[in-house]
Amino acid sequence: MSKPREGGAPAPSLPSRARALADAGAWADVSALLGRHRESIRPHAPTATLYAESLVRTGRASEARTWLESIVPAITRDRSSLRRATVLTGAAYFELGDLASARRWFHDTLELAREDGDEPLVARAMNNLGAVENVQGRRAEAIANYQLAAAAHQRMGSARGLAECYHNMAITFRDLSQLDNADELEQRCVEFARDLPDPRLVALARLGRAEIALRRGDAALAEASARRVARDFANGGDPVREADALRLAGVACTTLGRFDDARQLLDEAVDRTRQHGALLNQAESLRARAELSAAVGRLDDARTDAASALRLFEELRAIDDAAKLTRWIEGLPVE
Amino acid sequence: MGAHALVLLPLSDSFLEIWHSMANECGLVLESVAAEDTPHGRRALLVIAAGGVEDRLAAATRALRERTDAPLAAVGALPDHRVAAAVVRAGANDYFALPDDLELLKSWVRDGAERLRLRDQGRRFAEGEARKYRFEGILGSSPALEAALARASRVIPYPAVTVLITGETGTGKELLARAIHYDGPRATGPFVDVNCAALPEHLLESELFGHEKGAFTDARAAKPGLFEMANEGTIFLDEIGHLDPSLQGKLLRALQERTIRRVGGTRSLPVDVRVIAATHVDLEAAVRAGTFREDLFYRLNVMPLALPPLRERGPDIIPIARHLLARFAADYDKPVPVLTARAERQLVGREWPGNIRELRNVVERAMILCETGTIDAADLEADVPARRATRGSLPFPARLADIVTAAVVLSLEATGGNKSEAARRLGITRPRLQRLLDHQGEDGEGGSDE
Repeated sequence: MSKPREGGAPAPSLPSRARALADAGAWADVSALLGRHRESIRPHAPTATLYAESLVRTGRASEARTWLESIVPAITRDRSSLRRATVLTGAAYFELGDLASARRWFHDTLELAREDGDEPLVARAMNNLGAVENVQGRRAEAIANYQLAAAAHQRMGSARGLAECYHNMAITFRDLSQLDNADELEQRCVEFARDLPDPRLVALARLGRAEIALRRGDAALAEASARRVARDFANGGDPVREADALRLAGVACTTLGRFDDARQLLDEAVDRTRQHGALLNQAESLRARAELSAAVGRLDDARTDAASALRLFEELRAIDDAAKLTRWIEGLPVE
Repeated sequence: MGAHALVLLPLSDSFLEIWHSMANECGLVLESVAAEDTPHGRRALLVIAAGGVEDRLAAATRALRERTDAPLAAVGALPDHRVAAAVVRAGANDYFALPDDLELLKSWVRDGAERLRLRDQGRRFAEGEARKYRFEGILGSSPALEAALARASRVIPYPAVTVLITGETGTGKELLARAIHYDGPRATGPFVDVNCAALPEHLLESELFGHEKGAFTDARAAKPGLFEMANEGTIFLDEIGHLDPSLQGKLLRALQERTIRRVGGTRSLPVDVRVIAATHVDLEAAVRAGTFREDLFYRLNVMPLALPPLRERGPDIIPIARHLLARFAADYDKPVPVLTARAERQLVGREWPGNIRELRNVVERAMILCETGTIDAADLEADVPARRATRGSLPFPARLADIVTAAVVLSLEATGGNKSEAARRLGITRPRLQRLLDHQGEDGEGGSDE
């Protein structure tokens, strides 16, 4: 039996139907449609890769990885599919928390993209590598990658790429406590995002700036900015990010000594994040409420919220956050 | 700007049914040409289709290639490597044998359409940036600023001339660099900015000059650096005064020879880049102190531009503040607030150590917090609070770690992110400063400097 050709067409119109669903952003439908034809699409690289993308985009990273590892070795001539499959494999590993493998696949992506002159993918791979380095705490390496990604976006004139890259870089600079640099980059992100226009990205960058204001100790500015961003996210129908902005406003109120306002905001943030199953945001909201309770002397409440937050951080393998919170709990006065 | 086209040169009647939907799916307009026509190559992908008459493909490809350099695919029905080799030798970028290669052909058309779209995007982006960073858009009429701008305007038409912009933090060095780039002949090329203080030496070298595969443990693939990525454009080297001495020599070579060598590489690669460097450091003093190479200083100092601090631009302060208020009012969807006379006096009377950046932050803060439509002197009083933090205005009782964090943040901001210098000013070692950063003001029990 001859080996199926990777460029050959599968069942008529299936790729076109799947592509149309993908173009409409209906990734769950893409995954359901192509999942029913798994074996027939396997030798057909573009459609097999599209199926992998649908799995990654619908949070089925483990299935995506298994599928990709079975199809990538067979893709030889269709470089476009090979590049996409490679970056998707990196993304699947990233989602699964296997950062070393993610890093390896993103490097392979970068090499392929460079060989083929695929500049958008060069930029995306650089950005992804920056994210991997950042999660691993290698901040300087993260910035190095983000800078190269920004240069690639600049070459292409991609305002969206630049905005996202500046936002990522700002987060890294914020983690390095280089707050002026971080703020400058968030402002650039806002400028590009506003021109796009992308109100969600504008709001994200403004939330980043509110966080920076808080770290600088300007709680009044942080509160006003965060409340405004919460309204923007609410208008955009993004309750999880709205809750994150409410959390930040709550932390600012705690700092300002306005404990009742803080309690109200943080209760709302905890409830919303719990309702939407946003575990990391929920952990951060619980931690903020624990800090509020400690500030007003409600140590039992502080311990309860902190313990819940700690469990979530551990579940999410957020090692640094878990370690810091453990130290914080140990430092609480004994009643 | 017209639509991009899929230009078809049919040599036979085969496959005619596929082109319309293929062009449509990729957002291209389908056009047909005859063998003797010259297609407009800049905005098109070309396909020569010759199902059943593959023997005519190579000659047709060669003839078309002589008239255009647009991406060109040859399509036939024979999955024969000899046909493929002949048409590629004749100038085609690829050969597809239908129907087996139909999806590969679609990929080729989709990728090509994306490249055409990117080219337009790049042009539109450069035009937008040029509007944003117009040279005449730089606000101010103080003599010191006008002198700097007059000098800068003379360098704009000469794309190879290196520029050195000096001035305190926040005086608008990057804004001026962008104006020089986007007002000049390199405007359609990239503007690549790099903060030389943000990265340690070993990373910065690879960042600037790139590296070859295997140059160091982590170098899994060859990587071009920022100089290569800025080719035909401008590279803006901010905080050049923080450049490590070992890199100063490499930068000097790049400026002198207009070539770079990747880390671990043996070839010299030509780069066509305008270098604009900026610093708040007194480079002449650094040369005297032996921390900055004299030859590099003279190479950079071809066209020095000194931006004045805001305190020397008294008449500019209120117009700039009003401009910023109008801009932020639009950004935050609020009416433009009025500055009271007391507020204006306060703005003019301040020292502005953070210059325009500080003014911008103060005005934006007042705007966000403003609820009355009027901004008074009291609304402008908030200082950058990290600075207040060290003056005891953290919520009391503040954790020691928070106070330590505030001190570290302040020092890093004061040194433009230079960790070694920040550590020196704090009287601790760089590793200890790093530990304090990593652990938010805590460096473990008895954290020692040793």
